[in-house]
Parts: sequence; structure tokens; C-alpha cells
Amino acid sequence: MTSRFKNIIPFSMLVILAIIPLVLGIGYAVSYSFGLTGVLNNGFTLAHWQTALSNKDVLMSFGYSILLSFVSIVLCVGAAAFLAFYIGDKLQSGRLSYFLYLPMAFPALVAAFFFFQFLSNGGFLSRFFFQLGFIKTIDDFPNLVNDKYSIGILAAQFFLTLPVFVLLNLSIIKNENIAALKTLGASLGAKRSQILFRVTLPVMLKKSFPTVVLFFIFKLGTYEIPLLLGRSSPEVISVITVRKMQRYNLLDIPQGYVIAVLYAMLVFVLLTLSLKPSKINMNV
Amino acid sequence: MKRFSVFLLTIFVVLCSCKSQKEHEITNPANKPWDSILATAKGKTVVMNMYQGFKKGNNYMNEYVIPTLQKEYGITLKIVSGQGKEIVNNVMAEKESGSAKGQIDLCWINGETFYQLMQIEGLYGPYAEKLPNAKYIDFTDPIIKYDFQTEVKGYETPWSKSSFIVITDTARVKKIPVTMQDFESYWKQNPGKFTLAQDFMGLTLLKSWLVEIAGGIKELEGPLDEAKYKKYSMQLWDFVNRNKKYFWKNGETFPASNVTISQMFGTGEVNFTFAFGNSDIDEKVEEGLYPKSAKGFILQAGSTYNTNYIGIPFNSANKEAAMVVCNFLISPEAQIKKSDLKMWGAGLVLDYSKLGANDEQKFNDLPKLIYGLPEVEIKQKSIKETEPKYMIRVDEDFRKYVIDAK
Amino acid sequence: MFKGRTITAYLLIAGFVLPILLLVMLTFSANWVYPNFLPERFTLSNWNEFLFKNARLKQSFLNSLIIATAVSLFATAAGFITSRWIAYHKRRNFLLILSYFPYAISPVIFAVCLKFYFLKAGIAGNLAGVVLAQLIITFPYGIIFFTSFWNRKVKNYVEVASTLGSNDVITLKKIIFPIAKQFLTTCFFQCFIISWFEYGLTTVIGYGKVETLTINIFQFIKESNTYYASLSSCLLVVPPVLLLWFNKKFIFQQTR
Repeated sequence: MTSRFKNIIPFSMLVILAIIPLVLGIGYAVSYSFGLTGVLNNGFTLAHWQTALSNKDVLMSFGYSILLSFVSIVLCVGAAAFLAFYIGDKLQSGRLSYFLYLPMAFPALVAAFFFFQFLSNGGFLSRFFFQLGFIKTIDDFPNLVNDKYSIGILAAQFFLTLPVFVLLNLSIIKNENIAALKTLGASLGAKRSQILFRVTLPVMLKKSFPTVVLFFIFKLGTYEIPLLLGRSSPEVISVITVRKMQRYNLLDIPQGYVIAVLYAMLVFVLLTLSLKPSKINMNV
Repeated sequence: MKRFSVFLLTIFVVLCSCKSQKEHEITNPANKPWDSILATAKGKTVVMNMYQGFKKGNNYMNEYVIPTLQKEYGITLKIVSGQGKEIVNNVMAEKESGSAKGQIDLCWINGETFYQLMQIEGLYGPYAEKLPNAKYIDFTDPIIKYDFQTEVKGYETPWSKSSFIVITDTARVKKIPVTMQDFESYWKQNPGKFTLAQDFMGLTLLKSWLVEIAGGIKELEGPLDEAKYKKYSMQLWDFVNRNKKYFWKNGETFPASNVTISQMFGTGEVNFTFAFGNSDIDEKVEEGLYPKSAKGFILQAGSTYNTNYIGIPFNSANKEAAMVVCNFLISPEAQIKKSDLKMWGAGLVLDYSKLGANDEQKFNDLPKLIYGLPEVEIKQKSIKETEPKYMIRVDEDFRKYVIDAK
Repeated sequence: MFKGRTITAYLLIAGFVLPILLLVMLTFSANWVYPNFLPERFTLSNWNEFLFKNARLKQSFLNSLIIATAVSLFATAAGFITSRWIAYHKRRNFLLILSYFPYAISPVIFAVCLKFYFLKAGIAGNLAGVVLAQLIITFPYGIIFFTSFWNRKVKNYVEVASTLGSNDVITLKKIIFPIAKQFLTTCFFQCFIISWFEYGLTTVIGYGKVETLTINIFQFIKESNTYYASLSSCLLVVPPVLLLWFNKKFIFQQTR
């Protein structure tokens, strides 16, 4: 094998399987959004962009998705940090450590289905409370799915993502030798809260930041969970995109592609601005 | 080796795209003698898009239609979930990409979907009246001839007739609301016990209210009149918006499908659900989902009565086999089985008077409804569908003025 | 203090185990009527249906298996080779971000943008199309996975070997493979699970015609067939749980 030939294989694989689909997919969305493709389109127009951007539901969808992802990540990161410090030793090894991985055996769709069966008014929790006499009728049970505060979505995402962050934190604690840093801080006369806020947390956050951003991006694109557990409005980006593309009003379809293009740009910006890929920890 | 397969795949991709543009439909397979159609159909796989929200309907297909087609015609029927907008969207995407071999060979449609598919020339036809079993169907019957006021012209095979009914539980609802005013006062006294779905059931309810506001179906007959629609629909959205705070979850969300509402009706979460077809109550009482005190009723506007059909997408690669399936589905045997409450309990689409004495007897011997409304009552109050554009507009505006309105 | 920690740990674990238990219970249930917590009766009929009658579920299980195996084999091999090239490339970071993109973007949105080409190529709605579509996200995953493998240490080994006169084939066989073995199996299983769990791309590119377990679950949810949806959920969850028993790393994948 000559060195030249050796490079051609990986190069062509990258081009064919990663770059071409990317260029084609985004190219198609862009051209559709500007009226250059599609049965009903006739020539370049900015109309679809104008309609989509002046539509309240499109902007709300972006706002909602960003907020939802943010809250979801904050909850996970916070709880994971707490658990890692509080019971990290119990989770690190032994039989319990296996159970920590269990949520990773759940696809998003199954998690969404389970949380619907668990949290809906007719679900497990409601039945449990009924049997205990806490609620008298099905109406007394609070709205936990398809609800105003997206509790169902957040619960399902929390379940799926919490272990990832717990494991990440555990590995950071180990690799960065946080214990030694803490001892050092203490011997220099720092208080416990000082050690936590000035030493431990900053190190942890800095180390886990790329993964946090990556998961923020994942959450932005979430589909199955909000599809089953979300409300009719506002919708997350994936859900509104698919809905706009399946309309009787065929003129709405280009708007779906406008959203797809905007979303792709957002992901790209987030990736380039915040990630140094080498730092992402793939093997916790 | 792996890299070669990638390259091969690319070449394959390129070749396929060249081929697909050249293939064009020249002859109409429907004109061929039936024997030759049967021969061509043998051994083919037919893919059908179907709304899968009816458990009994799925059973009918899986347990009766699929094995019978396999045994008698050597056709493999594959059911794939898909309805309305999804079908239109898929056919359109295939049109755009110029794919000559369509993914889908049959689709269960009516009304606005049919209209929209015709708009993009997405259906194959005319073929329906040429099917041998078409002789059992009265194509002059307006409810069959016109699909939501669009003339069918042989582009769809009628499959069933059904009427829209509302279902409630007499144990929970003492005085059944019929008019919009009744509903309004019911909602105020019983908040949270009502909702409607974003699918054809919910939209049919909205259209029924539109008819009530307009003072009867006469006012909305014929093509959509913009001025009239504006006037009446604004009243409708106002009605829904001022009351939605009394709906399930404060009207802040609406289930995607009526299947969910039926489940919630079963658990007691809501007090009303909806159905196309009178047999729904009997079915679900037997299943244990609905209480025995469930009762159907008809709204002030009347009971929307329509036909649902089977269409063949323009680019189906197995048109002959698809036609054989259509023909089988309108055979007296398959239709009587379909009307059987134990199977599906769907409304017969065949003309009763055209059935042979034998079939007539079989049909009459079927078990009768226990909980459903008397057929006579539905007939008396039945109204025809409005033009399909109404459905499309109501669908869009429900989203725009109710769901997305904050 | 000690007690609180133990309780927290067990509560957390209970929260993770509960879903599996409840889903399994539902698969054995009939007439699960509100407000009863337990079903009116337990039955084997749902499992009976799957194991002996319903060919559809079995076919879906098989489809999921075939797709996931094909996808993960290819993604692992291709990812391994390509990542090496990228790892030593001067524009390494740019290429990595490029690899991250298809993997980070919402599969369902990516799929609707690509559907046109799959239709055009005539590979929408069949197994090959779904495999190719899933490769578009798992291949980049493979690349990213292996970038941490090609570190300085491995590079040094290879350089030493070549100085000592080893050729490419021997270096690969005697040095790289032994070090990479664990990485390769782990990547294989992680890709397997990503594919096994995939819904968005599979439903759009597969047209619903390529029925996998995730597609089934969604259909069962649509017709509100809770028992079958639970059953197919269990079928999806069991293989990863088994893998977990062998090696925790196998099921650790970073996806949504």
C-alpha cells in the first residue's frame, strides 16, 4: 500500500458518508426554502423566509427548545454533581455501579412511552395515589404530561441523561485528582464552601463543558420525547419542522425547510464556537 | 472491500436516478382483461398506507384480508401506517424526485386527502368502475359518486360508508348536550371533561359546529365561499376560544389523535369521545374500555355521513395487484366480513339490493348492535360533507386561531 | 449521614430499575383498568402472540438486528480507518467538527432533508436505504470515538516499529490491533445500540415499510395498544441490558 492510496480510502469515506450527505441535505433545504425546488415552487423568492420569520410559532419554537434544553441540562448537571460528590463512592464500583448504566439501555421512544404510562392522569403514579387515598378522582391528579411546564419531557430527559453526567463527573473527580486539590485548598486555610465554589466546581465545570454543550445540542434536536409528552403549542424544533412539512397547505412546506436551515446554522455555530472536539470525553 | 461497496452504492444511486426519469406510464392497466390482470398480480407485494387507529380494523386486515389475499391471489399485502397529510406529502415527494416506482401501492383516503392528491395528480385512474365487483356498487349514489363534493370519477374504490357520532356516558352525563349552547353550559359546570383531537375526528366536530353556526348544511353547500367561511368560522373560533379554558388541560393542548380521547373516555378523564361508524361503542364495551352506560348521540348540525375510499398512487409499481386487492375488498364476502361486529363493524359500501340472495341472508344474519344508535335515527339526521376545502381551512385555522393563539 | 447516603443511592437505583419492572409487568397484563394499580389478570397471551403467532413482531426484531449489525460493523471499521487519517491531519479540528455535525443534528430533520435523494436513488423504503441512512450518523460517531485512541503513545509505537523495519501490515497486525481490540468491540456495541434505538431516520427513510422495533412501538402507541407497545419496548431494552452485564462500556453512548 502506498501512502497516497492509504489516504484515499479514509478521505473518500469521509467525503461520501459524511460530507456529501451534509452538503446535499443542507443544500436541498436551502434551495427549497428559497423556492428553487419543489413541485409548487417557481423561482427564487424570499417569501418563505419572511413568512416563517414573521410567524410567531416558529420563533416560539426556537425559544422554547432553547429554554427546554437549557433547563434540562442544568437539572442534569446539578443533580449529577450532587450525586457524584454525595454518593460517588457507592456508584463508582460494586453492584450498584451496574444499575447506574440502566437508563442507557432505554431508547428515547421507550423512555417517552414509559413516562407517559407513569405520569399521565391514567398512569401508574395516579393509580398509586388513588389507591393510597391521596386523590379521589382521576381529575385530582396534577398534569404531568402534555403539561404547561413540560414536566413530562424534563422527567424523561432527566432519566436518560443523568447517568451520563454522573459518570462524567466521577471520571473527572478521579482524573483531575479533585481530592488532592481539596486537601491542598484545606491546608492553605480555605473554608469548605470556598473549596467547593473556588476549586472543585470550577474544575468540574471546565472539564465537563464540552460535553455539556454537546448534550445541549442533542436536546435541541430531541424529537420522540416531546412528540409524545409535549403540548400542541409551543412545539420543539424537530416537531414543528416535521409538522410544517406535512400540511395540506402545500405552501407551508418551504417554511419547514426554513426552520431546518435555521436549526442547522444554530447547531453549526454552537459546535464551532464552543467545542474543541479533542476535549470531549467519549470514553468515560 | 467496504470502500468498494460504498463506491458501488454511489454508482447505483446515479444509475437509478437516470433510469427513473425515463420510465413513463403509457398504457392504462385497467383496460387489460381481468384474467391478465390477475396473472400479473400473482406473486406481487402490495404496500398499503392505512390509518391504524382502529384496533378492530387492524385485526380485520391482519387476520382476514392479508391471509385470504395470499391464499386466493398469491398477493402479499403489507400494511404501513400513514394517513391524510402524510400520504399527500409522500406522494408529492416522490413526484418531486421523479421516482417511477412508488413506495406505496394503495392508500386509505377520502375527502381533503383525495382532493389534494387530485390537485397534484397523485392518483392513478380511472379504474374503480372497471373492477369486476364494481357491479355491487351503486356509483350513482351521491354519497359514493362524490367524495366530500368532489366527483370521484373512478379514481378511488369506495370501501365503507360511515357517519360521525358523539359518544358519552349516561352515568356521568345526565343531560346530554346537543347544541353548542348546551355544550357551553355543560363545560362551565364540568370543566376539564371535554377535548377534541387534531385529527379528522376533531376537525369533523369543528365542521359540524360550523354547520350549526351557519344554520344548516344548505348554507355551506357547493364550493367554499370565502365571505361565508370568514363570517362563520370567526364565530366558531370565538366560540372555541372563549370556552377552551373549560376543556381538558385548560385547552392548552389538544391530543394528536382521537385514539387518545377514547382511552381517556374509558378511564373517565373526559366525558365525551367521537367516532366514525356506529359500531364503535359496541366494540369498545366488549373490549372493556367503555362502560356499558356509554351512549351515542348526534349533534344539532346532524351526523356527517361520508364514504371512505381506497386510492392507488400514480406511480405504484404494482397497479394490477393493487386493483386485485381493491376488487377483493369490495367483494360481498370481504364486505360482509367487514360489517361483522366481530371483525370490524364498518358500514357496508355495497348496494344492498344488488347482493345475491345468499349474501343478503349472510348480511342479515350478522349480530346486531346492542349499544349503538339505531341506523334509522342516523339516516334521518345525516348530512353530507362540505367541500374538502372546508376541511383544509378548518384544519389550518384551528392551529392558527386556537392552538397557536396565546 | 451514612444512612442518608445509602438511602439516596438505593432510591436512585430504584428509580432506574422501576421503569423496567413496570414495563415488564404491562407485557403480562390484561384489562389494566383505572384506578387499579395492578391489572385485573396476568396473562401470557401477549408473549404467546409474539413468540408463536405474530410474525410481524418477529420480523421487526430480525430487521432491527440485521440493520444494527450491518451498520455497526461498517461504522466501526470505517470510523477506525478514517479517524486515524483525521487524527494525524493538519486540519484535524475542522474535520472533527465536520464529523460532529451529522451526529449532533436531529436525525429526523436530517432525514427529511435527505429523503429526496434516497427517493431519487430508489433506496427509500428498503433495508439498504435505512442502513445507509443510519451510517450517516454512526460513521461520524465512530470517527469521534476513535480520535482518543490515536494518541501520542500509539503514534510512538508505530514510529518505533517502522524504525525497526516493520511494514504496514505487520504493524497493523502486531501493534495496532492488539491495542485497539477493546476499542473496536466497544465502538461496535455502542454503534449497535445507536442503530438499535434509532427512530427518526428509520421512519422517514424507511417509509414505515422497513419495520424495526422502534417503528412498531410507535404504531402500537398510535393505536393505544399499551401491552404490545410495552412488549416491543422490552424487546428493545433487553439486549442492551444483557450487554451491560458483559461490559458497562458497551452501552455507554452519548446520544439524546
